[in-house]
Amino acid sequence: MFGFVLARLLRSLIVLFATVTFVFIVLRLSGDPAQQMLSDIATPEALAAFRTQWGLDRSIAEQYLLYLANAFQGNFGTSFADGREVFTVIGERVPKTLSVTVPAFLLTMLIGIPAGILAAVRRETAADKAVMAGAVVGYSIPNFLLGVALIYLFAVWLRVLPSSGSSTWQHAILPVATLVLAGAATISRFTRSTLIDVLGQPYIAAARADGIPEREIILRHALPNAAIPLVTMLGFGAGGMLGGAVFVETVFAWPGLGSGFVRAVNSGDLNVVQAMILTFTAFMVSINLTVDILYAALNPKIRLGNHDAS
Amino acid sequence: MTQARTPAWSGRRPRLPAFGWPLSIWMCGAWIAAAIAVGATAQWIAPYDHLQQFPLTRLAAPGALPGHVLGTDYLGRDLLSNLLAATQTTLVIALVGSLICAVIGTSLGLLAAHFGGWLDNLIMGLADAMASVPFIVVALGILAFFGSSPLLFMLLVGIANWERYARLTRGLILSANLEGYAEAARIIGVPDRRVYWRHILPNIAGPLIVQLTVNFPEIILLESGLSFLGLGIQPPATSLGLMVADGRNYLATAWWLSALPGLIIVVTTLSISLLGDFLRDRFDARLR
Amino acid sequence: MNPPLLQARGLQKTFRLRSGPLARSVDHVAVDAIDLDLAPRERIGIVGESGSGKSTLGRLLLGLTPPSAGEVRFDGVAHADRRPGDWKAFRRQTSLVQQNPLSALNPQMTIGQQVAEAVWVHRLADRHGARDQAAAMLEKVGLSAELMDRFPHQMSGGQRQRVVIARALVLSPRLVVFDEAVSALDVSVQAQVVAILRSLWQQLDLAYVFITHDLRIVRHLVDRIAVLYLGRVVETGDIRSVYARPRHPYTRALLSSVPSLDPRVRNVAPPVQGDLDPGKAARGCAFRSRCPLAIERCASETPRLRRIDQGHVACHRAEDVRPLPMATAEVA
Repeated sequence: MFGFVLARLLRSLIVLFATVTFVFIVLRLSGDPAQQMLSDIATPEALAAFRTQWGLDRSIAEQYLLYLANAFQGNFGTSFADGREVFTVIGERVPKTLSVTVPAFLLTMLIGIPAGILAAVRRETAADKAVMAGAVVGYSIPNFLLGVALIYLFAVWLRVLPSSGSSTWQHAILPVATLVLAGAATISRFTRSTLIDVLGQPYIAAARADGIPEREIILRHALPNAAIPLVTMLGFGAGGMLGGAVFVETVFAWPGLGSGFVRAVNSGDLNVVQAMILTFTAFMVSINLTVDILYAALNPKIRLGNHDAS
Repeated sequence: MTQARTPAWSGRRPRLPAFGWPLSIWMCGAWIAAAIAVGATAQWIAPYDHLQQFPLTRLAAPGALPGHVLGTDYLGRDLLSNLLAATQTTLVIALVGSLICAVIGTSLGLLAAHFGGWLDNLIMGLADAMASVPFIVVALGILAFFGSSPLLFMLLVGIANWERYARLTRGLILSANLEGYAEAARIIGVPDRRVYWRHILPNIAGPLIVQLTVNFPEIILLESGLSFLGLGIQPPATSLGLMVADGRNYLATAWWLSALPGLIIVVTTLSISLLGDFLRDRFDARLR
Repeated sequence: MNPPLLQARGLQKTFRLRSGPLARSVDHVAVDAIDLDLAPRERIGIVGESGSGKSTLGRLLLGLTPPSAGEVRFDGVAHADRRPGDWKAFRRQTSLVQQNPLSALNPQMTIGQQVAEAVWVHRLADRHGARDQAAAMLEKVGLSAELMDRFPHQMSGGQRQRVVIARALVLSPRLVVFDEAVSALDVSVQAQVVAILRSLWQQLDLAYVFITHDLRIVRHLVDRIAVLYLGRVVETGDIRSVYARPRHPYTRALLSSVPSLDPRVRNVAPPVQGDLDPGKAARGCAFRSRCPLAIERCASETPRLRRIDQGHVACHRAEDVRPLPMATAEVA
């Protein structure tokens, strides 16, 4: 167990390291970073100052080490858009993103998992078909479209909720709802198929043959075994929230990481872009690490230390 | 294992009677056929050039003007013509993207399975890394550094999900290599290239095609999403996502400007997903 | 005596097993220090339980797996010295018949295509000629040419195995390894396939290695056998003398556990107790934990193959192994 966690921790660090390296290489490949960062109108003095600050006059190896050091200290220079420290810009946006994604994630699980269980247990009934139909439709509606539809419904037509901004808690309702609807569709579908898989296993048939009541079979036998794949799904769900935030925050003009990322890309604010890439990666790496540890804790094969190579 | 051993798409087996399919599946098929027809002929069947502006009749509702069946947008452009052109763009990009993705992913999976060792580790490590970050983050990064050109954009949607093909192909090839027929062919002296092309590929084509039907709608959504964010298809070209984004400013007065392209996106992806699911279930059932 | 067609010396194969990303790796010796000579047209049986390394040995002989130590020569040329171009010529002269005929055949190709493919990838005929040769070969294994356009799933297990054999023999190879070639078949079908193999051997210039766990079948098919235990040859010799008088306790146990139709001779000797235990094979005799005759010496000293009568046995107590009861020996 300890070795497993250690190995995963090491892998997470390697992923972060690789991402920083990747960004560094892409930045160098895509042209003169000074020119890229400061745009065409920069004065020669500004370019020179920038080059010295980032060590661009030194060798590639030194530049790389310097870049690594800066990156891990959170030093990405200043935003081209408003001249503030990138670290500050990102720092302001993180809580905004968390304030929609975290509630959305919890609600997604609270709705998606029970719906999936219901569909699996009452297979081929109206409840199952309703859940699955909702899931398929939810899966096929991109969340930016869902967002636009919700704006039309609640802000333009019914006029009960604000459509954009983040000044009150009511502003968060539509973004959260968008993320939840899209997320719950995927989660319920996955829960259903996982549970149906488990319910088809021989030990479930054996339990049924022993006359154990169905309720008991679901709670005591099926769910604990389905929990392991479901944990992996938590990771997908959390990743989906972060990816969805890019669209949903843009649709609702919610000033989080996602909309900030899009704005930085649209305005060519590369300092912010690289910091965004690393921030998103760091979030994903921590999510995956958490999932791995949970997975190890739930899985007796790993917990008890005799896991195989897979 | 069973999947790899049993042919999913053997042309010589009796086909299922198609008339037993439910109505919804027929409707999905009809929609897809119509979308393909539009994709192939949009520039000829559109009543106007999609860029032609009629400044005097802006934001006309559907049915309000005899010359414009679906009305006009905020610049007075014919909505129907725009929808046709946008559907074509979206489908062409999704098709090219899907094929690029399938070719890249399958090739890398094949290389990983064939050579193993460090190359396998490298490719699979890359695949893990791709899968661990939402693709939109990678896409935004690439667009930021390299700017958006139609060609780059097509490549970009083409590399989304390549890792799924790579993993799938690698797994299928590894198990096919364990199956006797691939080794048997090698033992009688069939060259590697022919073993892969003639022996293994036909046997693993089924799951790969299923993957294609899963991937295609996702690429439509990715294209629409990026275009919606203003990072994909750039005017004067148009795409469904771009039209949704443009129409967003007129939700209060002309909601159909966003709703109609949105509807096309949803119905198209839904049809492909449903048809894909249905066919897969059918084939799976027959395989058992 | 003829010069050997196939010669293996000190053949060894070690697999490195690793239980997890950070776990220490463990070496598993699948094949250990095996010498083997095979003359043209000679037939040898390799007998052992699953896990004895017999399939690995077959793959080593055909150069499908590189050995960890030792070498294999075919026609005097070592596998290790063969250049890529030479392999093709080698492949033309050798073949392998695999265990599971269903998976050994490509489900997407007709059996005619699969048998003919062997002929024309070696440019021995054009496609038309290859098809004719395939048809002729299929006739030889008792399959009519009308079946050529069938797919594997449209045939019975016995027919499929005959297709596999036809494909292996269509190039008239000089060496074939049969790896459990009939084990997956029903007993009645086994008998048919055995008969076909015997008649084919009469017609062809063919030497083969017949790998099996089934002592009943191998008797009718080979001249010599080698009994494998945990990667080592424990007994080898002429088929008749080994069956008449096994000299290794393991061979004896195997022979006495061959099911007999005669109720009087069932279970006269205890079958082998316990399971294969690769972990304890490091020093001493690997079989000692299951051996009824084991003594202290068996734990301290690894027995080497030594000559007894006409055969070779690796057992310290070979002289003390009792003969099989008469009836059992006859039935086996």
